[in-house]
Amino acid sequence: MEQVLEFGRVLPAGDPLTIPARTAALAETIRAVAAGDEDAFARLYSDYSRMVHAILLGRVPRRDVDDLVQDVFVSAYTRIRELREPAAFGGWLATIARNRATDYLRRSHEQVKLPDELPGGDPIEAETFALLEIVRKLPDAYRETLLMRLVEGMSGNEIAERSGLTPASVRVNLHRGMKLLRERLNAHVGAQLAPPEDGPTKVGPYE
Amino acid sequence: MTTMKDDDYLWDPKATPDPDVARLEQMLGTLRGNTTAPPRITATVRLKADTTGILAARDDGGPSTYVGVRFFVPALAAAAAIVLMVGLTWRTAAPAGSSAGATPGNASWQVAVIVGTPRVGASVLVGEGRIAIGQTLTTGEGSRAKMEVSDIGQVIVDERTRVRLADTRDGHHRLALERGTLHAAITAPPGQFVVNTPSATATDLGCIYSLHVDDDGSGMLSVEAGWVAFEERGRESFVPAGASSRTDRVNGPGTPRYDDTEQAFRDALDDLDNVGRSTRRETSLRYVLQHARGRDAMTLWHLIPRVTPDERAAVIDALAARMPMPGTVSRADVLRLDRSALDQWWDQLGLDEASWWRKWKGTYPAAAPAAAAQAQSCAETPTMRATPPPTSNAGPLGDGPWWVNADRTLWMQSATGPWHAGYNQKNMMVKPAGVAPTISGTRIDAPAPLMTVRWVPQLRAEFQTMGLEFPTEGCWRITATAGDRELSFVTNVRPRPDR
Repeated sequence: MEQVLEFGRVLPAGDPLTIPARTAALAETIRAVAAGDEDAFARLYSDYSRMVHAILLGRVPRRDVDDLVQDVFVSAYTRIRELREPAAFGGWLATIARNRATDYLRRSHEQVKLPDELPGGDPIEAETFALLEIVRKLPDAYRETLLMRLVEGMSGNEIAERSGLTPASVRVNLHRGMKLLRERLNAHVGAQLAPPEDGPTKVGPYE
Repeated sequence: MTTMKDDDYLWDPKATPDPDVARLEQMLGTLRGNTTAPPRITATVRLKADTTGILAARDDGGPSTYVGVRFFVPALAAAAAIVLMVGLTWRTAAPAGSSAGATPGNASWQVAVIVGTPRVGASVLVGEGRIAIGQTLTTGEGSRAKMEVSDIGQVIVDERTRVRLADTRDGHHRLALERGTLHAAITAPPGQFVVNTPSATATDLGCIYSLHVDDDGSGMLSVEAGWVAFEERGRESFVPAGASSRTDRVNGPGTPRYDDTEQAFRDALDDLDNVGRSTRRETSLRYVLQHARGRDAMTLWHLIPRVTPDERAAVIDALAARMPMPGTVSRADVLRLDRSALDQWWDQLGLDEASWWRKWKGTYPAAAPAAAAQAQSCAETPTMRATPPPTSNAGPLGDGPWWVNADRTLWMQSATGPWHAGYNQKNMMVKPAGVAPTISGTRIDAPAPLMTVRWVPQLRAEFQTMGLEFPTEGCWRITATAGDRELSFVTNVRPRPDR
């Protein structure tokens, strides 16, 4: 169910709260976190962890994404008093996530290089990782928005609210990202998205 | 082809499913994370959060430790200005030893365990203790500690870190971060707290920041409030709040960039810092110049002396488009890297804190003992980024940073990063063919034996390697000749890290 944040409780989608009211609610929650309220922190985590997960998944190996999500939220907790504008929380958190991914990649580059992903023997899993690799090569805005939608199951409205993007920008990113993804799947891998009755989709050079 | 139907479903998962999108969703949905539980907020994390807000809490003066975040930065800037004025008055009026700084009889800091078993020297720290000048604080896996910087601030030392207290006395506090991460929150006037790393020196200008050093000596500075000056061998980066700067042994401080810039912008800047003349560098320069926002004028200003001469005009144009050049400055001055011209343009950016830094550097007490002050008082000759001419006995040599003479016939750089006293370090020189080189080094801020040179001077070839060893740290003038050509520059030789 789509949810929005309001003074420490979650409301169903369609709640008549105006944008200023939601911003005020978010500001109140952030103040509570800054004052050490761990329940408020848990609510922020619940609302924003999928966005952070999607951003990281687009950049770092999946095996480390969950740990890095935790790192990002710890970092946000320690720095939340720096946040100048509560309404900018989503964008601020996304920047922390992107920087954390960059740091991770820089450090891991200096260590033993493992394959980006270590799928098991299941061909479906291999297909999924191959598809993920193609999504990862999309431009940042498309990649992040598509992963929030296709991996995390977030709606367009929810992506806009969490990321700080306008709904129009999210709609454009989804539309153009999906178009580009189709082109990449066709052009670079040579696999069409076949109708369901044609069997498993071939999206990667894993065979 | 994208249809309205799949657009509807892309926007709203409750709409009629588009089969293609639904199948992608089904596959990729298996990658959803295990993010049900938030991270545990440990005492360590809480302490770090409290330290991050330390200036806000002190400035606020009220019962709450939380300052409305939108007021934090302006309040900090105002407070910093007041602190600076008070500090300058204090610096000239207060008798030695009467300030809050450490005195010779009290040349140590309080240090406390946050978690784990940090060590001071060879002793395991239990609860609280003291760290004296020359002693090293080491934290292993899972250990963290807190140091009180006299009474001007705090430093949190993360796990797997090794940091030495190099100096502490009135108005001068210096750490040497050999590896790992520290977080500093300093309330003193600018310039009182300095951290040396193997590849750059961070000078606090009244702020909160984090500094990380990898085992190879490279590092990252991230500033959370105020300013930090990051410098090495004459290469300076002024890093404001919300910005970061990388550093490494070869290039020194990297071009600072705001943390909210796009990843592609940061990647392109890294290319400009690290990649020599190539198509990739050209592409990255174009990207930076096209995508710099108004506030990225700060970054463009830093690029001017760092790019090659043939790239410089484009950078100047890009900066001028975002922040007009002052009327008192000519384009020719900037192209010539005239320091006064660059400083005037910097002041135009409205970032006054950096001019504080210049003023502070210029008035640094000359009577201060050389060991602590020489890094500030040594007027180092700036290096430049440029590619030396091809040689007959070496491959491509990259674009430095190099010291170069006026007619660009003599080029020199350290192959092992900053010079440290007591080490035989490898150096590279490019000179004209057919003439034998000479080189000498003399310390200019204090008496010292001459620099030692180990080499086989090359007569015919252009590329020359040599070992140079400086007997002491300090401010040194190096003079190299080849025939009637001469290269002379001043550089700061740092103390040997293990002493």
